Amino acid sequence: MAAPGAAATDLEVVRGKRAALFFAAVVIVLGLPLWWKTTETYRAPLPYSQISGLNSLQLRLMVPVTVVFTQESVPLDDQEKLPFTVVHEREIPLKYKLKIKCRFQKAYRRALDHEEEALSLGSIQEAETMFAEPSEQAEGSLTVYVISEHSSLLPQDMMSYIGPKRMAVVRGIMHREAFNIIGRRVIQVAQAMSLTEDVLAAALADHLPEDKWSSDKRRPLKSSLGRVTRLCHGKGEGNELCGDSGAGGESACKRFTPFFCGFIFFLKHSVFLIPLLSSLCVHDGNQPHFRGEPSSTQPGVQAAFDPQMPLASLTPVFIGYEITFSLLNPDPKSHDVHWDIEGAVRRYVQPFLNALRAVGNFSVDSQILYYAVLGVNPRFDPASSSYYLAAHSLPHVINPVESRLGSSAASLYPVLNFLLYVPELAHSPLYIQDKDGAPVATNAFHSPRWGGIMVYNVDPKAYNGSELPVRVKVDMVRVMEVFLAQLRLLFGIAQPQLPPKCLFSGPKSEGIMSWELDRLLWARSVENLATATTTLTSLAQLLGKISNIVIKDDVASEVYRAVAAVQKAAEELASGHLASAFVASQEAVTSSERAFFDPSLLHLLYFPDDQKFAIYIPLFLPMAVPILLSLFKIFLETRKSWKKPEKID
Amino acid sequence: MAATAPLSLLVLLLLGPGVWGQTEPPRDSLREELVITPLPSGDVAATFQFRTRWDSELQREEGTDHSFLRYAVLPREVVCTENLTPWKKLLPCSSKAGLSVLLKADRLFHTSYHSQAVHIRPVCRDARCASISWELRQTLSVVFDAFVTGQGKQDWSLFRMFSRTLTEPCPLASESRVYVDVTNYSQDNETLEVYPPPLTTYQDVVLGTRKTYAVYDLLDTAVINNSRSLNLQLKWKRPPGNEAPPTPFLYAQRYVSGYGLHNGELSTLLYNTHPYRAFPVLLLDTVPWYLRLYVHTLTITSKGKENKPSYIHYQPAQDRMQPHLLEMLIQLPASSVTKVSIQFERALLKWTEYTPDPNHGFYVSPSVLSALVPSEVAAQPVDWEESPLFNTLFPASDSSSYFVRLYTEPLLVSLPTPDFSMPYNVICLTCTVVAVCYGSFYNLLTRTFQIEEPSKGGLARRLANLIRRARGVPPL
Repeated sequence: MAAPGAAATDLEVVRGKRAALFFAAVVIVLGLPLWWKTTETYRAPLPYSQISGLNSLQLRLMVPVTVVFTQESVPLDDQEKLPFTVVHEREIPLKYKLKIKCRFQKAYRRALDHEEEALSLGSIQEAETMFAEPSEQAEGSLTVYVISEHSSLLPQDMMSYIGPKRMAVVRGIMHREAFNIIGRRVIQVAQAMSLTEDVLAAALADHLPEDKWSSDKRRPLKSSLGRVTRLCHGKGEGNELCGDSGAGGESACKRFTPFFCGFIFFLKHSVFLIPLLSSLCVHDGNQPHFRGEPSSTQPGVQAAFDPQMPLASLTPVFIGYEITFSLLNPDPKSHDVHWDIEGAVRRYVQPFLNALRAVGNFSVDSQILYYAVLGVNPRFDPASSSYYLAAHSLPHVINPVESRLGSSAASLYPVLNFLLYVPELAHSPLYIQDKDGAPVATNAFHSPRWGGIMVYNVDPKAYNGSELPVRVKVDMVRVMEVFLAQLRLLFGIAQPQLPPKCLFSGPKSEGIMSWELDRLLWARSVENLATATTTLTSLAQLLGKISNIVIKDDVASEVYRAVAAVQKAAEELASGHLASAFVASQEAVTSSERAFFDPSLLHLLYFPDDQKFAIYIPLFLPMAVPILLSLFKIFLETRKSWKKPEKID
Repeated sequence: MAATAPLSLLVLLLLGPGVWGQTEPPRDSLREELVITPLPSGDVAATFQFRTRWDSELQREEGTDHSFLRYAVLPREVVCTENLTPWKKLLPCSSKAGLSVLLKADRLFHTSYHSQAVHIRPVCRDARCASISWELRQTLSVVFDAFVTGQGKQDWSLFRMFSRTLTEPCPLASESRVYVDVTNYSQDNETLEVYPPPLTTYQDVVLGTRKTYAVYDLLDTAVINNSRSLNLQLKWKRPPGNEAPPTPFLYAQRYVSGYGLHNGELSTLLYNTHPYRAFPVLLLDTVPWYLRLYVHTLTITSKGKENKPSYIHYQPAQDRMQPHLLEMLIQLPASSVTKVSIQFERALLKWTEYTPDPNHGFYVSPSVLSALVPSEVAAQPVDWEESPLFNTLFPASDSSSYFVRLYTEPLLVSLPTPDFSMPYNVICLTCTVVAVCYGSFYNLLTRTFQIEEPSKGGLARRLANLIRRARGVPPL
C-alpha cells in the first residue's frame, strides 16, 4: 500500500508544483502587464529628439540686398560683368548654443532707365518720391543704389544715404578694386539697416540661459547697478540711471518697491525726436505747434546719431499690448486740466501703431485720475525756487500710482502706461533731476516694460489774476513727442549704428521707418524662436522627469505644431522671407506656450505612483505571498535534487 | 425678457421731453449725496449715492436686440473691504474729498446692514435720443446699530458713525449734499434735534409717503465755514419709543420646503398690505439646472383661491448649459398673501462638479419682483434732473404709483452628495474579494493531498475510552 501511495503523492506533488509555476507564469506574463496597462497614465508620444535638436539649432538669417549700379558709378570694364550675385556670410558671435549666421545676398545689377532718371535728379528727396510709387518691397529686403562718385545727389562730404523706406544710396568709386570697396560700403549700410549684433543680443538676452554670455548686453536687464552707471557715462543721449546706487541698491529697491523694481531711463530732447514729430506736423498740415531746435528747421533730414540707445527697454514677446494714457491731476482744486487725448492719439499714436501692426495687436485707452499722487515728496530747491524729484527716488514714484491705474484688470494684454502728471500747486514747478543733479530737459522718464511718466508744469503766468481752479490746456504735441519717443524705446526700436559720413532721413508720418520695422521683425523673430525653443525644451525636460503627467493628444499636437513652426520659421529666415518667418515664429511661441500651460498637465500630479501602489496592496499582497513562497520552495527543492546526483557521483 | 420693460420704462422716464433739450449737461458731471435716516428704533441708516455722467460717441440703435440680453446672478458673496476698494476707485474724487471721505472700511463693515451697488446704463442726451451719455451710479447703504456701537446712547454724529467729518466738497462735483430725514420729528422739535440747524429743508413724496429732509449743501460755503468742518449731530431729546416701523405695501419671502434628499418645493410668499388696491407684480425666477423643476406643480394661490397669472414665460434648463427661467405677471389682490410654489427634484452632479464643501449646500439665486406700487400720497410731477438722486431711484410713473424692484433672500439647498472616497473603497473591496477567491483557488490547485494514518491519541479519544471503560464497552 505504501508504494502506490507514495507514487500517487509524488504525482500530486509534481502537479502542485506545475500548478504553482503556471500561476506564477500567468501572473507575470498576463496579470502584471494588464494591470500596468489599465492603470497607466496616458502619455501621447512627443518628438523628443526633434526638440533636443532645436536646442542646437543653427539660424541663418538671409538679407536679400539688391545693389543697383548707375552709369559712371564703377569703371566700364567692371560694368560689363554685371549682373552677378555675391554672398557675404558672417557668424554673429553669440555665446549661446543657438548659432546665428547672417548672410547678405547681394544681387548686383545695372540700373533701369527710370532708376537712372530718378537718380540723376537734383536732390535725394525728389529721387525718393520717384522711387516711392512703384517699388513696394518685401519685408527684410533692401535696395542699395550706387551712384557716381561726383554725383550731386548727396552733399559732397557724405558717402552714403539711408532713406525711410528700404532704400539706400552709396557713392561709387572709379578704381580697379571698385567692386570690393563698394561691396564693403554696401555691407556697412545694409548692416545698419537690418541686423546688428546688439539688436539680436538684446533680443535674446532675456530668453536664453546665460552661460558664457559677456555681461555687457545682459546686465542692464538684470539689476546690476555699477554696470549701468558706467554705461550711462558712455552715452551721448540716452542717459540711463538706476534708482539706487551702490551695491546695496538692489536689495533696497526690492524692499521698498515690491511691484516695481526697475530701471529708470531719461530721454533728452534728442535731435532725432524733433523731426519725428515735426514731420508728423507737416504731414497733417498742423504746423503752428511745431517748435523745434534750430538744427531741425529742415524737417525730415538729420545727420546726427546716437550710437547706442538703451537696449534694455525691449518689451517681451506678446501677441498684443494695451497702451494706456493717464492724466494725473492730484490737485483738482487748483487745476482744471483738459487734454485732447483722442485727437492726439488719432494724429500721432495711431499711425505709429498702424505701422507696427505686424508686431501685434494694440488697444489704446485713456483715463483721467484725480487725487493721484506720486509716492515721493518732492524736495524744494531754493536756488531756482522750484521743486525737484531726485533720480534715486524715482523708482518709488510709481507704486502708489500703480494701484490707482487699474488698467491691467481690464485687459488680457500687458499694459504700457504713459502718465502725464500735472503737479499740485504747492509743488510746482516740479522738475526731474538726473544722477548729476541737472534737470532732465524733457521732464520725463521711462521704465522698461512698464511705461513712461512725464511731469507737465503749468505755466506760472496762468496763476496771475485768475482765481482757482486755473484752466489748463495741455499742449499735446509736446507731450506726444515724449511719449512717442518713449514708446519707440519701449518697443526696442533702437537707433542704428551708422557708418561714418552717412546722411540719414528721419521717419515719415508713421514715426517709424520701414527698415526699422524690419529690424524689429528680425529681432522679434529670433527672439520668438529662442522663446519657443526654451519653452519646448523645458517642457520636454519636465515631462521626462515627472512620469505621471498626463500628456493629452491636443497637448502633443500643439508640441508638434510648435516644432514644425520653429523649423518653418528657421527655413523662411534662411531664404529671406521675413514676413512669413515672423508669422511662423509667432505661431511657434503661441503653440509652445499653450502646450506648456495646458491645465490638463496638472490633473494627476497629485496622484503619485506610491499612492497608486498603496491602493492595490489588498490585491497584491495576498496574491504575491503564496506565489513567492511556493516559488521559493520549488527553488529550494530543485537545488536539493540537483545536489543529490552530485553526491552519488 | 419682460423684465426689461420696467428698465426701459425707467430709462424713458428719465428722458422726459424737454429735460435735456434746453441745457447741454456738462461733460463728466458728478453729483453726490448722503441721506441719513434716523430709524424709530434708534438705529441710523445712511445711504450714499454718487452719479457720474459722461458723453459717449455711441449711437443708439433702434430697439433692443433681445438675443443679446443677459441676466446673471451670483447668489452669495462674502462681503469685505476688498469689495469697497475697487468700488471707491470708481469715484472721481477717490476718497480724498467730498462725501467719499466718510467711506472708511473699518466703520462701514461693522454695521448691521450693508448694501453696495453699481448701476451703469445709457441715457439719452436729447429728446430724439440721437446721442447717448453713460451714467454710472454707485450706491452704498449702511445701517448703524445704536445699542452695540453707541454703548446705550442713541445720539449720533457723523464723527461717531464714520470717524470722519466733512471738510470740503469734491471740486469735481456739481452737487454735493447731505439730507437728513426729519419727517416724523419736524412737527414737534421735542423728539429730535439736528445740529447744526439746517439752512433749508426739502419736501417730497418718496416711496409713496411725504417726507421732509434737512438739507446741507457742501458747495454752499456757509455750511462748512463756521467750524471748518461739518459734523452733523442727531440728538434725541426724548428716547425713541419702540414703535413698529410701518410695513411696506409690497414685500416677499422665499423658502425651501420638503424633506429628504430627493424632492423639494420652492415657495415664494408675496405680501400686498395695501388695504384696498390690487396691483400686478412681475416675478422673475432663475433656478439652477440641478434643481429639476416640475412645471406642472406650479401653483399660485391667494386668499385660498387659485390665482391665474396673466403672463407666463418659461425656459427650461439644459444640463450644465443654462438654468431654468420662469417669469410671471401676477395680480396681487388687496391685503393678501400670495403663495407661489413649485416642486423640484434634486439632480446628482458628477463627482468633480461638487464644490469643495458640498455638504454646505448650493445657493439658489433670489427671485426678482418688479412692481408699480400705489402710493399713499399723490406725487407732484417733478423735474427728474433737479430732484435729489435718492428720489430718482424709485421713479413714479404717474402720480399714483412708484416703481420698486425687490430681491428676495437667496436660498441654500442641500444636494445629495456622494461618498467621495468611494472609488478608493470600491478598488479596495474588489481587490479583497479577488484576493480571497484567488487564495482558495490557489490552495485547491497547488496543495498536495495525501491520506494521513490516524494517530494514536487525542484528548477526545482518551476521554471517550474512559467513558467506554466505565460503561464496560471495549475501547476504540
